[in-house]
Amino acid sequence: MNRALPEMLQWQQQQSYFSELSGVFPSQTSHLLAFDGGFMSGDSVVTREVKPHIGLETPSPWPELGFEFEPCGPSYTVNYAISRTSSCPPAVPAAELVSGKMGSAVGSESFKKRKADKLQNSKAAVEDDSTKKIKVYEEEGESKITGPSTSKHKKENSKVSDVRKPDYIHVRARRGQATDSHSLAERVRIYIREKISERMKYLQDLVPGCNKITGKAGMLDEIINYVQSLQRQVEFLSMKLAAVNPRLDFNIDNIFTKVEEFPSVQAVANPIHYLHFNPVQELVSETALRRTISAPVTIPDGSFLDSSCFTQIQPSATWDGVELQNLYNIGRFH
Amino acid sequence: MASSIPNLEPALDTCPEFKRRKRSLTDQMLASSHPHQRNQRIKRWRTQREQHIYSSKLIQALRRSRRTSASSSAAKDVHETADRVLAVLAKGTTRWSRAILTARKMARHKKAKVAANTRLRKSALNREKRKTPVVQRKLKVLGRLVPGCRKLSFSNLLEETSDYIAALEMQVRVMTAITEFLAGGGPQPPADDCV
Repeated sequence: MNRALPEMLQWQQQQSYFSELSGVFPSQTSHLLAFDGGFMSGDSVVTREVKPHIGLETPSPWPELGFEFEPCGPSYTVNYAISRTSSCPPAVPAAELVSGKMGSAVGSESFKKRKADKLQNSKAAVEDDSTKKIKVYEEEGESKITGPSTSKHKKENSKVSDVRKPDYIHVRARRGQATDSHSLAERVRIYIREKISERMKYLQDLVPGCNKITGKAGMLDEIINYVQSLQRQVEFLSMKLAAVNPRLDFNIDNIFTKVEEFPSVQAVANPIHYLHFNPVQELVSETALRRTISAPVTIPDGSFLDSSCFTQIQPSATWDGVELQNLYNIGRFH
Repeated sequence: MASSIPNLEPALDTCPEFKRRKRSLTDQMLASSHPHQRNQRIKRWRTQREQHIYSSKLIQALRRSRRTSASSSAAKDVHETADRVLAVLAKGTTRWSRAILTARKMARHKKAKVAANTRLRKSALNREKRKTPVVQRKLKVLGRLVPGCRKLSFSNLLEETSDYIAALEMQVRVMTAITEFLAGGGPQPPADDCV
């Protein structure tokens, strides 16, 4: 009971915070999904938002209050709490809640009264009452669902069997949003799983040969193999590049011409001094280089299977007309 | 009401943090699901322009590193230079790029020693056969492969991996092209030619 007072005060403080946050809400999805450690702190903040109605007490002992949202608190705080925990479009239900039967001012007053009541009453007796009433209420809310709700939520809510008609005015839970701890954790899990599967699908497109494989373990194997092979390739190429590095300084102007999209004056002027070396060969190598550079992504496919493929020139390359022109110009310069 | 409550401070402390964390998570969620962000991610390492930029920067960096030939092994030098230029090109948006860049700055020897020690200790502790789930083990392996991603959640690791794979592919393409050019068609240095 001693704990209750400071926590109540804390809640009131947070109530004012949440009113400030009103502008941010419509675009936000669940804050509870700060699953990397956020739950416990979210716990302490969030539980206090939803306050029981007159005669309804916060059902569970304080530590467990984590996700025990009671939909019958003052309307706008409930709105904030629940809108934060849901991923449904908040606009319509928010309107619902705000136009709910409890005015906010009245709500806060009644909240104070309730808090006083709670401090006096024993928790246990009222706990069952309120839990049931709340859960019943959720069920009612669920039954009005037309929006998206997963079947799991429905299942969890239908666990509550006894239907006791509440005789106070409650603010409803948002559509499709159950607010007990199980369903919230469930929602979190679903969210994480969706993210993971989305990213796995993206990786499947990226990694060649992953289309046939289903299941996380096999795909992870493929991904690991692919990353290892790419790293090995880079290693091999860097060795090769180190071997031909002496030519780097010598060819530097040529290289700049190759790599720049449009030749600057400098790039065109500089090749003059070495043009008396095989210009035709240069031209050929330049075009070859162009081809390899502008070849589609499939080059690594061929090359990581067989390292000798490095010297292959992909014929299906796209040409850049201006660059080709430039190459011819270089050749003609001589 | 607020002023009369002595316990304001803890609440105040938690709330801004809470707000910050919530907002950052929401932003992250919004960003990841936003289609524009997705397309940007896809196109990021695939464009011609990126390749050109990378290749020119790589060549410049190679020239610079050749002049100051740092370590004995040239291949390792080249590899590190290539990785570093790739990481710079990522503009610090991904973890692996930041890890590559900071790893260069830290004393390499110190890092190697510390890493070796911790690894020995860990293997001594894990003598008994601990049945970690298969996926977890593979995640750890993948985390070791991608630089700077050892202790990452599943979804974040996957995101880093996809970006890393795309960047590596581009690196391979560019280095192939450069090597091809230098080895295959480049004119010989004057010493060889003046016969």
